[in-house]
Amino acid sequence: MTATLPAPAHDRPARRARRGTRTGVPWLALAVLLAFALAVAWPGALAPQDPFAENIAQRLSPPSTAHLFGTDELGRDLFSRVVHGARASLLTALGALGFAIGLGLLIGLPAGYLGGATDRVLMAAVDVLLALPSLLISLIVVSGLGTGRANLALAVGLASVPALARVTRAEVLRISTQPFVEAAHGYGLSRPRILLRHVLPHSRGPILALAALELATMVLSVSALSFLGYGAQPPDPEWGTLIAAGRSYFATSWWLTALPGAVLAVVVLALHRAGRALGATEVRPV
Amino acid sequence: MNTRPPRSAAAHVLRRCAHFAVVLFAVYTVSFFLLYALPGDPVALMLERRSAGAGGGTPEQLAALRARYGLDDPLPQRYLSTLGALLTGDLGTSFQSGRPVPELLAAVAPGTLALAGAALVLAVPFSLALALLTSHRPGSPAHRILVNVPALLAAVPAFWLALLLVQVFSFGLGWFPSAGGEGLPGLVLPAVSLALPVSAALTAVLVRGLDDVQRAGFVALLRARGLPWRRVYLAHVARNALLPFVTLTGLTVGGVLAGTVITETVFARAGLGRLLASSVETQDAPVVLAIAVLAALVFAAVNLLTDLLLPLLDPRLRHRTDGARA
Amino acid sequence: MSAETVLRLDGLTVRHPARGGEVTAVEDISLTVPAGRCVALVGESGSGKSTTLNALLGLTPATARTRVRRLEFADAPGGAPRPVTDPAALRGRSVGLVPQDPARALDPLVRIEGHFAELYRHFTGLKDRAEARRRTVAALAAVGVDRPEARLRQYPHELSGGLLQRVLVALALTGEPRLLLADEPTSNLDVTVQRRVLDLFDALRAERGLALLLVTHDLAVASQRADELIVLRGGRVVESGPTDRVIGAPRHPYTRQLVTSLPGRLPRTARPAAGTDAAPAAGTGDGPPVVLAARGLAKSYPGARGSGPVAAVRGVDLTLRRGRTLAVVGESGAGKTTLLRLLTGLERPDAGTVLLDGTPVGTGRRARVAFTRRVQLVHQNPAGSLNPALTIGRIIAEPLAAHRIGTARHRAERARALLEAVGLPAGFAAQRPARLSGGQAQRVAIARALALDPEVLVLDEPVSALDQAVQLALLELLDGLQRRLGIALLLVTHDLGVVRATADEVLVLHRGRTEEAGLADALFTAPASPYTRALLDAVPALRLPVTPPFHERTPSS
Repeated sequence: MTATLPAPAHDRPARRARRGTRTGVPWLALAVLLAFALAVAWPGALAPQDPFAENIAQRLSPPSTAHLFGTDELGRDLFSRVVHGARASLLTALGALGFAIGLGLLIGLPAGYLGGATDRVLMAAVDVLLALPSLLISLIVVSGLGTGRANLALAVGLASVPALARVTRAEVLRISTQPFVEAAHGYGLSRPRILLRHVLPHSRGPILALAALELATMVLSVSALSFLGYGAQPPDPEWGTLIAAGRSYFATSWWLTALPGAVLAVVVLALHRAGRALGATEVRPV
Repeated sequence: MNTRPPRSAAAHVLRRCAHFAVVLFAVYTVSFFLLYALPGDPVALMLERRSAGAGGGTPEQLAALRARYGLDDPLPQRYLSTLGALLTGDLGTSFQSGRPVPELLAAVAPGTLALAGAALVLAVPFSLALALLTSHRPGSPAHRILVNVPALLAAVPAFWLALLLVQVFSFGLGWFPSAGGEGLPGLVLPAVSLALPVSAALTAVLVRGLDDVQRAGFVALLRARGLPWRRVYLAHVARNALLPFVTLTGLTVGGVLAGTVITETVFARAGLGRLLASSVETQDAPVVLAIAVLAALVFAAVNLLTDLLLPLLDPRLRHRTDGARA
Repeated sequence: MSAETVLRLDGLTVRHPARGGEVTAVEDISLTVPAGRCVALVGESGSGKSTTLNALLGLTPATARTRVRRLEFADAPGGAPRPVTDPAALRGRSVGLVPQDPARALDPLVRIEGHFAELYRHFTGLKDRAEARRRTVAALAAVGVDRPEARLRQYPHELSGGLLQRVLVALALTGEPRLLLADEPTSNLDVTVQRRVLDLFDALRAERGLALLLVTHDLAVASQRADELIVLRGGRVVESGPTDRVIGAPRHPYTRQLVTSLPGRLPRTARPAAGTDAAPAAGTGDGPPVVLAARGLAKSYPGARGSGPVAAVRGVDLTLRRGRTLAVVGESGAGKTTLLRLLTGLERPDAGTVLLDGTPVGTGRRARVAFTRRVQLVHQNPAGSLNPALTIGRIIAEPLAAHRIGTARHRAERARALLEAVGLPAGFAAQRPARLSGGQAQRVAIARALALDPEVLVLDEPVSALDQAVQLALLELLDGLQRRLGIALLLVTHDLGVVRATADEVLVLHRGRTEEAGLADALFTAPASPYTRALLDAVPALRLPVTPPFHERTPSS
């Protein structure tokens, strides 16, 4: 006779699924990101029409098969404008990311590896940036440097420097205390070679994961600042600017604000998913 | 390294205060040089805006104004004089409106504080409830679905969410006013659109904390002693997971304040955020500088508060008068 | 005492879902625990001990498939065992659990009295705080907690491991269970503490007629304390029966192997003229010359928030002779690891010097590098000390590359030769360390340490993380290497069995100071310090006939 023990409903798998470390490849997110990469590299391949071609006869027409996302107040095809806007939005964010990673490594690597006074000075500088909300940092930079895409990238990038510098430093510190790094000290390997051969390769993962999440945040920040009017100037299509322009008509033409925003959310979600697949666990405070 | 004498709790508080004073000073310095050291002539811009259409000011007018705002002095001297003024409580005069900055801030601050407060009052209980619901049964279908909600909320652009809310609840259903709006009804939509992105981060951290604590050895043991799961979950798991949540809530206050820039713009509410947005546009440096220092001050104060609060919640962080273990 | 049965488990099988089917964690396990007796479940890691224990309390993951033929429990003394359908019903009132890791077993935010009050409220509905306190004090006193009133307001992190384990025993008893499950109750405790906790279990059995199911990996502990042994391997029972019978005449080859490889029974290696050595402290004299020595080493670290610096090592002298083995022994926190880091130059001492061949080691980078060629460290955690991104061949050859010795091809050949010297196939050179078992990783770490032909090998707890059979093989390897290469070994360990098997000289550390130092034989037979004596007495060991030393035995597979 065999009896099956009832497993109480609230029994939880205690040792299952370590947090954060998703191993599955996020195919859907990758496909979405590839599509956006194509839109950045070659918008003509995806956009059915010229994003600047006006057609007053068809102004403010709702989404249809002819105009997937409808048309704006000048009759321009919104879908084409969104596709072309990817370049302005995403390239600005990528520029910001490059700036943030560069500065983050420049601060984090020496802070973590050299320690001591270097570490204290560099981390104090980072603390200053952390004492302000990131949007405020961006606004101060924009206020000082003026508007425009390059300044916007700098403004948004600077806001992400603290997070990247801290993760880099923490990773370098973590790896530096690993027994295999200590073992390398033990058999007399020189410090630069230890950094190059043992520390850097192992810190790459978490930094990349954070970079994916930061890129998502940056895409949001770039469009928020563009929405406020500090980024790309009309008639250049940029997602934040498109949404801002759609505001004037949004009581009647919902698609002008809703659809570009939805596209924006999809990119951000895909980046989040990619970041989690790389092992990131954090959703940062806004 | 070298020996450190035992520190008392009061010394600890003093040290934290000193640290924040240094950070505040650094924030002021960085903001000052970012705002003033860069090219661009705020006086010309100001005159242009003030007399829009009237053809700008004469060179004499420009010079007089520059002298009045001290813009002709060398940068280090201006830095010191501004700092001195700041320390005596003088926040300067707006380039744009010509009014004293405190007056400008005081006029709009209550609206922003009400908005930020309302958003926090919504966000904290909402994320608490959502996280407790999510983690109650890890591995269950509810957990697998709900655990994605924070990421989804975080992916939604705040300004877009605000616009959608207006679309649905003002234009569609007509429940709340779309813009301006006095009193409570006018506060609902702005507060919700400000609270949701904040809740995303709060919920994510709390869910992770709850899931982590459930894997701790003491939870299995409590269950092995026969305590009901509800009791273990609420009295032990949730209590332990609350510690990082408190820290993060402190950190979020800054984010909420910054978020008002967008929310107030979308809902056309008067407030610090909108004042900041327009000051950035007109490069009204005294106003931007004052708001930056004010934000850093609030941020520092809230963090100091959480810092002092945590040892009350977590005995392991308390100072031991004697280092000996029993 | 009557052999009245408290728990009868028959035919337990637990399967976990896995990729492409199921993994069987335990299969067809049966056991019976009589009242007042101690039954020990013995097995190495992964043998299914913990799964069995979790299944008994209905704590297996929801995804696991658990089946039993029969589960019976006798709740009242003298009553017949009743069938149990839901094992969760046994929790607390029938079966009390004493967990593995006392430091993590209590909610850190709750005071000691809070833990008890919660259980009293749950088990008896008691809400009166004064009454709960009174009972708590009595419960704490009953398990030998000193100053029980003072403990009420303390938090778990303020208590030591041994005291916490007593508190946990008291908590397990609050539901007045008839059976205690003890899951490796002492494996994280020092030997002297371990002994006192095990004595407490014995006393409770005698006083209250409690039955005890002891789960342990330590056959010595089990054989000392249990009436019956159940030996698990790979989720199955390989042998069970009365303790004397299982230890005295093991039937299954696995049990035999376990019994012969017990640490306390590790054979003494034959030492050339060990008895004629001069006193260890003397720098010159008879015997081989001194390679590594330390004079007055001291090191302290900044303490936790709010307390002063903690002295980890205070004024330790030691002497290591060529081709000999010195064991540094002590309980956790005695300063063993710090001493070792000072000796290998990973940290600088606050005071004192390290001497190599009688000359102080310089502090410059050049001197450091020269030092590393002659003194090599093998880390406590061998797997962690191997960079997972590199191949094993590259790992072993890296010390040579660091010192620019030989061409790349020559280094690769040397790596393969070293692998064979530590008893691993040369083909491992192309693999990465992730797939190595604990013993193999330790061998790779030793091979790397040997790459520079050092004169001194410093080993930090070389076998503590390994299963018993693997421990024996590794100690045999070290012994063979020492004979062949004539290197001096400095061994840091808490395991006196290992010391007895390998060391020529012993240094006992206690709270950062040298408690006693001398020849191993003398120290084991006539310890001078009371602390050493207590340490020796606390070691659980079997009294069995002496087995021949390593080199007279045929190498085990």
